[in-house]
Amino acid sequence: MQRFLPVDKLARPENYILVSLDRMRQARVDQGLTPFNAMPYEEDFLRARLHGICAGEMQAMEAAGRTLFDFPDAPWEFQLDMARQVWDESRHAEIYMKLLEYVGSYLGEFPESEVLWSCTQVDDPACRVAGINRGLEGLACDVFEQLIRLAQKMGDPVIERAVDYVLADEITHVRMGSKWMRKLTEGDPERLKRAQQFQENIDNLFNFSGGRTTQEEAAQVHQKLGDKEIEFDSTLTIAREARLLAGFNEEEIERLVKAASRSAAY
Amino acid sequence: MPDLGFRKNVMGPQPIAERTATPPEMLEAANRFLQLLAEADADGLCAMTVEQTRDEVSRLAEAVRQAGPYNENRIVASARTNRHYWIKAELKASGAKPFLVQLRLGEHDGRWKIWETMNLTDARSAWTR
Ligand SMILES: [Fe+2]
Ligand SMILES: [Fe+2]
Repeated sequence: MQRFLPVDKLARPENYILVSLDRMRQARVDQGLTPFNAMPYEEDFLRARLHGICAGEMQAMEAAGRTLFDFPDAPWEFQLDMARQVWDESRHAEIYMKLLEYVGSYLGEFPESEVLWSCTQVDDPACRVAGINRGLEGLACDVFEQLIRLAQKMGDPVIERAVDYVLADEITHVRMGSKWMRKLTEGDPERLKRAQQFQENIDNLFNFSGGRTTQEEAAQVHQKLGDKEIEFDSTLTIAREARLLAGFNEEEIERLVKAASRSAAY
Repeated sequence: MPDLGFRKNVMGPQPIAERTATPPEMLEAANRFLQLLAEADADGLCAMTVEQTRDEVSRLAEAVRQAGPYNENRIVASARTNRHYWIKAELKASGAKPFLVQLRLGEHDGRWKIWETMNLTDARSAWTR
């Protein structure tokens, strides 16, 4: 079996639409929308957001499996952690498939992008866990925390609890990423720096030029969700609490908040 | 996976929203476009395409002309980004190599137009750079 499976060799059923992130963003711009993900005030927010997450869960499952396979010389405990993560992500994918049906969507309603899988092209396991576990799964903590609050406002215990179960796992995945980023780079500050740089690139890709704020700073806008009308965030928020639980320190969170507000300037 | 979707006979939470219907006019436009593409009718294709994409569509028509002719087409998949629809389709003819294409359609001045095309014929996937 081939190691470091290229992005375009990730198998998908024929009747599935794949679109690169650039093209997806262009499709939104052509419709007068913000280039990044569906925003909380959009009519399709729940469907599109849950769909993006579901595809992400599947790629996270595949990526953790590949990380196990691509680095046969990595410590056995590292491989065990990756194997556990495969199992977690497969449950997450199932949960989100059910949630998709619950909100009137289905797997395949929206295209799938290559974002998470592209992180598996890097040939250092420390970079992989920095980019995927700390970068993307840190972002997942933000996204899930916001979804939970949204579900609470909607008075929907199904979404609230389902996402909370998944968030509890994601927090352990981020911690696992932090642990292995440090362990694998012990005594090699250059390698640690490369891993952190890789994560920073991922974080920047999702800064959304001002589309992100802290939970406290998020402007509230009126939204209609099905038959419910609520006031909710107009931006994607950064989940300080969940990130602290996941083992990010104050300084790291502050850096993220600063970067998000900095990119609002241009 | 069992027990997905609308099922009146299962216990537990039922969907809180209906699925979004695919606009039939969009599918009609996609089928018309594919018909014209099979015939490599560049002028007809460009008339259905937003201005900035016409060069791309002309090149696609030329690729079909060289590989074809085709007399059959089939929509393989569809998905959407907001109100723009992605369509993956295959052109076929006996003796010719199937031609795989992915389109994006969106409404423009009240008509469904092509905004983007990708020739996937020799690509491993639409993620091929
Ligand atoms: Fe997950
Ligand atoms: Fe995860």
